[in-house]
Amino acid sequence: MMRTIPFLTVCASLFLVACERPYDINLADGMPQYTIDAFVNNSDSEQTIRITRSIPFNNDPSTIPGVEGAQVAIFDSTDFKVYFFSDRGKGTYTFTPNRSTGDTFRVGHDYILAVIIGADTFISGSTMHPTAPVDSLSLVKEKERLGVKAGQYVELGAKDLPGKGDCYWIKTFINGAMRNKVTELNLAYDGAFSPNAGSDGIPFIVPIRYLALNDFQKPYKSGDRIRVEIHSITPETLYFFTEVRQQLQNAGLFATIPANVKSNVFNLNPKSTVKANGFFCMSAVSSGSIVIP
Amino acid sequence: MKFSYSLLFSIFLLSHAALEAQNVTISGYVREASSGEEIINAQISEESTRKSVSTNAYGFFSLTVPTGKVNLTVSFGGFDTREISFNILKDTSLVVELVKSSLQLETVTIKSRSKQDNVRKIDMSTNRLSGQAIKKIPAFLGEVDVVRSIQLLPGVSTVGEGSSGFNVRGGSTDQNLILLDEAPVFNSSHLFGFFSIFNPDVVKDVQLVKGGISANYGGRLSSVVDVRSKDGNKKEIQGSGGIGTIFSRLNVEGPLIKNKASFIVAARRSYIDVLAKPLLLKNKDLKDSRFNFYDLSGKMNFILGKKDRLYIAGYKGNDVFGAGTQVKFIWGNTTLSTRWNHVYSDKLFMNMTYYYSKYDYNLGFGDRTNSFDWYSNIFNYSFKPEFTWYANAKNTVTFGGQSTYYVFRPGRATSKQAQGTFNFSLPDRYAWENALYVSNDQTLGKRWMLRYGMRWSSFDYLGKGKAYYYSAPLFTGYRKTFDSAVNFGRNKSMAFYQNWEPRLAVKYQINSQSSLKLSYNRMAQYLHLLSNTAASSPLDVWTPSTNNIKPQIADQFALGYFRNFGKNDDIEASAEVYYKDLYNQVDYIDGADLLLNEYLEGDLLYGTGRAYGAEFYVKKNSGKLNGWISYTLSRSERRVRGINNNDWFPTRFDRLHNLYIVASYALNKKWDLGASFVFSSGTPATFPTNLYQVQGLNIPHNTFGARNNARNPAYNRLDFSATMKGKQTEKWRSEWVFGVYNAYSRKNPYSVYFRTNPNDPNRFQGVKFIVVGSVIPAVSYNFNF
Repeated sequence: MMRTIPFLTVCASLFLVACERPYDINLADGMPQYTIDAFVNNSDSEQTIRITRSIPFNNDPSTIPGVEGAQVAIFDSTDFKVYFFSDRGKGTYTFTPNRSTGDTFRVGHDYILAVIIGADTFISGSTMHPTAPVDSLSLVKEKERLGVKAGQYVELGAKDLPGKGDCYWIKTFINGAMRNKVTELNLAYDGAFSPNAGSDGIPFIVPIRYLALNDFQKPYKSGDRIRVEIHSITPETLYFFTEVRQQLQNAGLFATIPANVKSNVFNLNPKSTVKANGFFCMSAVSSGSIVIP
Repeated sequence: MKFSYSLLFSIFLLSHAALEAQNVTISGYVREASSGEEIINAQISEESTRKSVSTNAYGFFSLTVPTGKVNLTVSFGGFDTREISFNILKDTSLVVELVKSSLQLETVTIKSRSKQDNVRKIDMSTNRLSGQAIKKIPAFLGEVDVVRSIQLLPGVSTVGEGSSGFNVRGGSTDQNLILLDEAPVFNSSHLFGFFSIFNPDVVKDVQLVKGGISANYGGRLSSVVDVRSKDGNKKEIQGSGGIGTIFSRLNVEGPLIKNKASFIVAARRSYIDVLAKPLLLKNKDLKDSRFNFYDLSGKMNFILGKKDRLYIAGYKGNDVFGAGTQVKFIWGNTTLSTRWNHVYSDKLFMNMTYYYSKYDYNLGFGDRTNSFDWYSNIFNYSFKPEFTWYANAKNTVTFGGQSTYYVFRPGRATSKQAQGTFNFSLPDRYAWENALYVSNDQTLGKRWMLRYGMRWSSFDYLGKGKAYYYSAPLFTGYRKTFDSAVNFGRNKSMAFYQNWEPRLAVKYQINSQSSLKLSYNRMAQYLHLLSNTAASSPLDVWTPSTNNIKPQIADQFALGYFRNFGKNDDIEASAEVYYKDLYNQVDYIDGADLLLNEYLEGDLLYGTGRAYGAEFYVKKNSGKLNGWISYTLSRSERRVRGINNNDWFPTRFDRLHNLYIVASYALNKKWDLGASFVFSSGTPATFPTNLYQVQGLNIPHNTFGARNNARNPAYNRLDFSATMKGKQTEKWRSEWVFGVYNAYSRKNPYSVYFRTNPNDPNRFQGVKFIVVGSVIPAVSYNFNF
């Protein structure tokens, strides 16, 4: 429903002289905190967990420092196996699955993340849910119309798995580069946006399977390779991204009250003042790709 | 309208056999001579006994006096006072007609009550505005407006331009009971609060009650806004209208049967879409754009003999926005109320109201093959009998009840695709609210007046439906997880609440020019408007109290000193302090999903609130220069487990200082000038301190977990208006109104926040969002015929 809010603002602006002006805001000083960015999937490629430290709000995000020397492990509590992530420096920790030895992450298993930084241990949990297969990727030719440049666009053919409460993060890559602006976040709860009886098991609705895969001001060019991945995520992860989106697009007349995005990573010692932000999610992935003719 | 009436009053003597020992009762109606319109709150005083009463909302009064000679004085602001003397031996009923003061005086009086009301009546924390008074305040785009006028009274504030609704004594916008001819209105705004839905040409009387709320009102915590519309001229056809910058208005009223039945119909429509049409036509995608809002009001009333009156009133208004065929957004209210007045005896008056009220909105986008459509509404039917028993010279008892059946449609949503139509609808919800009340106005000696009452209210959340149960989250402030649901059959009670709501008001008359007043009221509210946005929007969903959502309760104490000054007590002043405790205030987890969410209740938090403040008000009622100064010092805070580290935090609408100055000046017979000035402290804001990155997204963070820890800049604004009288004949009177809104072009921020810097998408930028950031001139032409 986030899409409606900018629209409302536009409506109001049409009548009035509503405007945004840059404004210097004096901000209070905060304390740096750890960030644990742990999105791990069941593919065979190298899995990465990032551990960083938050910076003052007005600073350049490219200066966010990595945290080295942490111990990072994921524990499969279904199979009682532990997978250690190696410290690659600058806050990057990796693990490469090995199918031949059975060292892979599996659908249906429960996982616990443990991160030890100095005297603090942070833990989190996630279940890996199955994901919806990519049935097809097809081309759509659009004519010039309001808000749409003529050209070729991509539509995903996929439908929500039966059973209520499946959540997905659908990523689109153009020649290997992910569309990763906050406005491009493409999330689904069952076949639509939020928990509702009607959308279980249905093909993803148009805003998810078509609108969010394309930039209608920039049609795909001939030769572009478009890959789409459907990551199963936990409902908590969906809410996490919903909150992130809400915080980053919180503007205009109907802005909500800014709030901290909730993390699912906790200090094992609840009395410790050292806190961590970030999120842990185990995903199953399906994918498909198409080359624009 | 004719002013040549010389008829002062007419007396209809009615024989009544019953004679009380020594006392007799004078009852009847007070009307406007030219139109026959009943006057609300006119004062009837008897000289020798020094007793006085006011007419009720239907123009009826009843006064008990000893037999013998009586000298009645009947007065009402803007009208010539009438004195009537006669010998009375038995119960008498009469109709008093008042004549409007001569033309030059018309511009002078801005109040709609007698001069001593401020001091003498028991009502406190109450402001009255007549349609005439509202028209004197400089208005946005030249359109005078009921709700915008209320926002200049002490104790009332708004979050800013563009927010629907207003806040009274630290209460949220859903805590105002807004009544249009006794039917509640769920959203009083056109165009996101810039205008209200009440057509000023039809408004007769507006009463705002912030404290000492009497037992006949209930269902909202913070205030009552009682809007009464005109009944229509009973004597001759007349009309008025206006052509403004944004609206055109027209209303016609007149007799259906002379002196027995009348009607009034009024319509307003914005026409920016009509003006913009030639521009939009050039773009074929925009040619179907719709941007308009309109409202229609109609009313009929019938005098059925001497004892009965019937009123039928209807209202329909909509805001319609649409971009081509692809997007539409429509919201509006519909009300229909039927009222029957019956005078059982000189001492017993009854009003029976039956109403239907509906608020609905519709949002849709897409085209014929792929579309999303969402419809939501709330509607209710209510039956409300009320009796006023003028028991004796010292006691007036009001008693009655109300029964309301609600249907809530939180969302009917469908998505149409090539594969078929999918339904996301949430089931309807039902509820039945009941109330019984009794209240007595008692005079004790010359100095004391009491009003004490009790209201019993109950709320039944009814099937057919599902009651949801949730398990507590691991950490407070997090989403509660859905546990189980139980199905209930039709009309089965899913949750039941009842509350006793005591009400008390006391007045002590210090002398003829000053009094002290004290009040206490407990209010219960069973409906909740769910909104986690800064301003309430037309999309906000009304929800009933359920097995999870408890009714909101408020206790308010107020103490006030009232004083009149000047020649003829022309200047009225008051100072009031209040303290309010609020319970079961709904708040939201961070990132709550309020729309089309079946498990919405898992996202709600409940807390307590407190609001306190002092209000100072000085009003000059007559003379060439008149107007008021209102200053409010107030706090509104809330404490919710799971927010702000469980500490008190200021509410989104907390403003420490509110200063309003309204003035009008009658320059000469041709020109009237008006000005208003508003200063309000900035509203609270929450800002981040830090930044972190997850999956390539930069996320703001406040390491203290604080809510509303900073302030937006203060709000201030100056408006002017000038009214030039045009042609003034008996058949046609007209005026030009020129207005300047935001005269010194202040860029008042509505809110301050961060957005992605357009020059560096990786960085944030502080931004203030300004809704009206420049001078807005306006001109409109009004006419009466």
